[in-house]
Amino acid sequence: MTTRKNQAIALAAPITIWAVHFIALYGLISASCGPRMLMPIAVMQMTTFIVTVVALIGAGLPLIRVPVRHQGDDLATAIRVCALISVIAIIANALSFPFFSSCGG
Amino acid sequence: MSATAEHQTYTGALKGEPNKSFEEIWAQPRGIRSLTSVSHRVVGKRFIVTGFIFFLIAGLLALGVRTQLIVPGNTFLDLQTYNQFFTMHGTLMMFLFAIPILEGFGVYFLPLMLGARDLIFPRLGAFGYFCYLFGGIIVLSSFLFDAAPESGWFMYTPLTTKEYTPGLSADFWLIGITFAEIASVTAAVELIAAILCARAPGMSLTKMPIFGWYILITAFMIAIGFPPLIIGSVLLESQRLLGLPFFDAAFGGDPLLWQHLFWIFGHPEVYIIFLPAAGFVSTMLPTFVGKPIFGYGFLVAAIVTMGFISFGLWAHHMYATGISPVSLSLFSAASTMVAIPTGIQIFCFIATLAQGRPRFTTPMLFVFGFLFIFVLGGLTGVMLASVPFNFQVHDTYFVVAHLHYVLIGGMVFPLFGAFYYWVPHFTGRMMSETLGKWVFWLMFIGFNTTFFLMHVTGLRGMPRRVATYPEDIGWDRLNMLSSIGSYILAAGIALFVIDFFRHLRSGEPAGRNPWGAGTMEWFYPTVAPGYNFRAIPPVRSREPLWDQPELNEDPAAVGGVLRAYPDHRRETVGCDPLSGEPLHIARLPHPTWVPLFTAFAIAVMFGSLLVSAYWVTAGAFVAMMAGFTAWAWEPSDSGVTRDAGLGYRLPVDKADRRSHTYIAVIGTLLILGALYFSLVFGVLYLWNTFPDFAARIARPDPLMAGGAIAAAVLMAVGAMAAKWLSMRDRFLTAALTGVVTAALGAATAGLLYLAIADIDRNATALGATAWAIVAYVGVLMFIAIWWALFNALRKLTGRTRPGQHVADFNFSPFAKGVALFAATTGALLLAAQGALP
Repeated sequence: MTTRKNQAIALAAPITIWAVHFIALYGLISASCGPRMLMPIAVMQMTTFIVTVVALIGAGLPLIRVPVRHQGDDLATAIRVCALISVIAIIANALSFPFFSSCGG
Repeated sequence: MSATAEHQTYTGALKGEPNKSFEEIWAQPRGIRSLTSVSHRVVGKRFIVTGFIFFLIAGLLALGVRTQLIVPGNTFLDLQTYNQFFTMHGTLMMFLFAIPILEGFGVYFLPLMLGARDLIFPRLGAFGYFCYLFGGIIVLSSFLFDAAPESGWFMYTPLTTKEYTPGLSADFWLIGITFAEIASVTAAVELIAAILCARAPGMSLTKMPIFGWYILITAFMIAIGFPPLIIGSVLLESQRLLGLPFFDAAFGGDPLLWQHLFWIFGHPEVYIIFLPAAGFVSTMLPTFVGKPIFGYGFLVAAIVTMGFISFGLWAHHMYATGISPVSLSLFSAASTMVAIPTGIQIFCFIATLAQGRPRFTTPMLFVFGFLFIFVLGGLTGVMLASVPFNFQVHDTYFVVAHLHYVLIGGMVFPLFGAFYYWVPHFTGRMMSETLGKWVFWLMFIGFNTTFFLMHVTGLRGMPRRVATYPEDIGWDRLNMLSSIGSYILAAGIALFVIDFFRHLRSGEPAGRNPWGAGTMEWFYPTVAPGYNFRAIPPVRSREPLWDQPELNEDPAAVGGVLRAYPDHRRETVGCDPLSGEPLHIARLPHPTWVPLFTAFAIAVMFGSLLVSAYWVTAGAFVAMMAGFTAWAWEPSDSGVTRDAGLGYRLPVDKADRRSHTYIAVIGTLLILGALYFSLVFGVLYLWNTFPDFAARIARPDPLMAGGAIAAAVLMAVGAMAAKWLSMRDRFLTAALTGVVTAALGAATAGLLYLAIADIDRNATALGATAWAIVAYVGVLMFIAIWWALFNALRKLTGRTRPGQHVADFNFSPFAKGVALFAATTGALLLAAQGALP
């Protein structure tokens, strides 16, 4: 794969992972707190934790290793900033979950 | 072989016009035939003018609302008319003004900025415009029948169901807006393909003007954000028309499902409106500061992340609906997080300002107005993201103030700045700087007087959408001042209109690049010729007019690709989406009646639904299919190569994964997928929320569902085989394989129907939604079958010649996508039956 392709993927991947993480958490909440009560809240919280760790690793990768084409590559900057925002947003998604003892608060 | 020699043996350019010069080939038709124009310049201008007319109408409605509220107990408007006014104000502003006018600017300016002679799908642009126009006319015509929608621009159920809104008013909204949304999604596909696949040689993604990034992400957001509302509207109209109980709580439906579908569209909509306007700011700022935009990479990151995160905010309009606190925390987090990319953009703008000494021209004043107002609106947005505060001010005038600060500050002010900045492109003349400054200050003072006070009115407890209020509870003076402010704002807009008509006669001629900008739209003296570029020059910079001196010479003589036109066709360069290197020559259509005819057929189809004239609907459907078929039937030009100049030898309309047609198919699949998953969301939501009703519905037939999965897989294989055979010019076997593929598609749809045949669609909302999914897959299968048979027919009638593979090449991913939706539906039915764990 060319560096350009790697860059395009690295730009889109972290925030896509945020989107998947958001959907996963929304699904888990619905499963736990919906009328069907498909899982206890503790299981939901544990699953959320695991999903969040995986998402953070995935979204944070471009922070460690950015495909760069040349000095002052603006796309490399964009990739880093994108990854950073995604990591922060993933943490924010899950931050309050441990503090809930039940679906009602 | 030389281009001339190839031309002698060439049989592809059947629609070439060998007797015409280059200028004549690109000339715009006049008189009644101007309706056949497909030029992005004509279509873009139509979007802008029509959008502005809707803006003026919506503004007048707002003045009516403000006049009603100027004093307590006012009787200027009766209650029903008041409801109609605020509903139509919101509807026109959001659906028929904001999105279309911004798309109009994108349609008009992107090819000029990117170095293309036209948008890559000109007929699609024209078709989209006519859909928008006819949809807008349907919505607006409701006033003529005394049936204007009156349920708010969000059309909440159950208020909009037949029981509570028995007339046609909700139908006008649902049908007209859905129709107009076709324009938005078609424009989205067109803009995605145009930005990715039709740029000047050498214009890589990082050399693309930042405006291109803004519109690219906006187009993706439209592609994903609009489908939930389209699905919601179709479901609600089905409930009103056919009695299917999607949102009826008595049958296991849920009014909140409508709110989810609406706001999954509705919140990203705010960012869909903001992003292009921020693109205007990012384009104007460097011009008036005299320096490139600060932090290009930061801006790209902010745009991309904002495009995603803005989808996670939808429920922040639903905090007060009883959502569980855990969910509230998730949505509150996303609502807060979106402030980060927004803040990055604002800081980049401020840093750009700090790089030089800005010129305080009229467009620049509007940029400053944008910064001031939008930042205030953004701050109240962060306040509203907080759940406890949101509870307090829910449905009060505080929210009205916030949304107008965001939308008028974030969109209308940059838009007016953009008008002043780019108006020479439309008329060749400058608008008045003196009057422009008056326009700005009237709008700025009027706006803040109107809406800043609404924060206070809201904090004092005044709810939205009330037609009047009692005196002496602390709202009188605030409302009086807000209304006076709205008149001042309207005076500013009226002065703008006067200035516009004045400048048509006596505006100073603009000449070439009057503001000293660096982007390519100023390459020619205004008004640029219809072909944009006589030869398309290579681009090595984001501000090519600043950094490439040769571009400031005689524009007609500047060297570039496609100077020669051996086949006498309209054409532009198709490029690699990432590097911008030329990939092929994209042939563009000449003026045609087909887009207008097809859009009109759809308008008749939708309009006849309103009056329950179903035979007319059926006739219009046939006309629509005929229109689309005629659209696609034209001779193919692919299968040859041409010298393009500057050492490039390029194929014509290449079948390639990087080509615009392939990218457009992928974009279309994105929209179709968003439509599909909106329905899946509905099924899962209802299944999870109402288990009792879910238990009541009949189980799907697992054998049929399994058979549908198998048939869908075989259909995808068939499409791939047809492509494989076609790429090797084995047209007869490819055609037969195409027919088999169509048969497998029909079998898939039939088996899915049999799988759910026992489910009563009128008994439960979940059952109705299951039917809706299968019906949707059936429609997609119908399109796939039509396409497969169309391709086969072209081969069997000798319309496809060796080397011409584009149709089969592009059909393959479409068929695979549709097969995936069908197989997923089969799997869902198996899961519902219990055959899957």
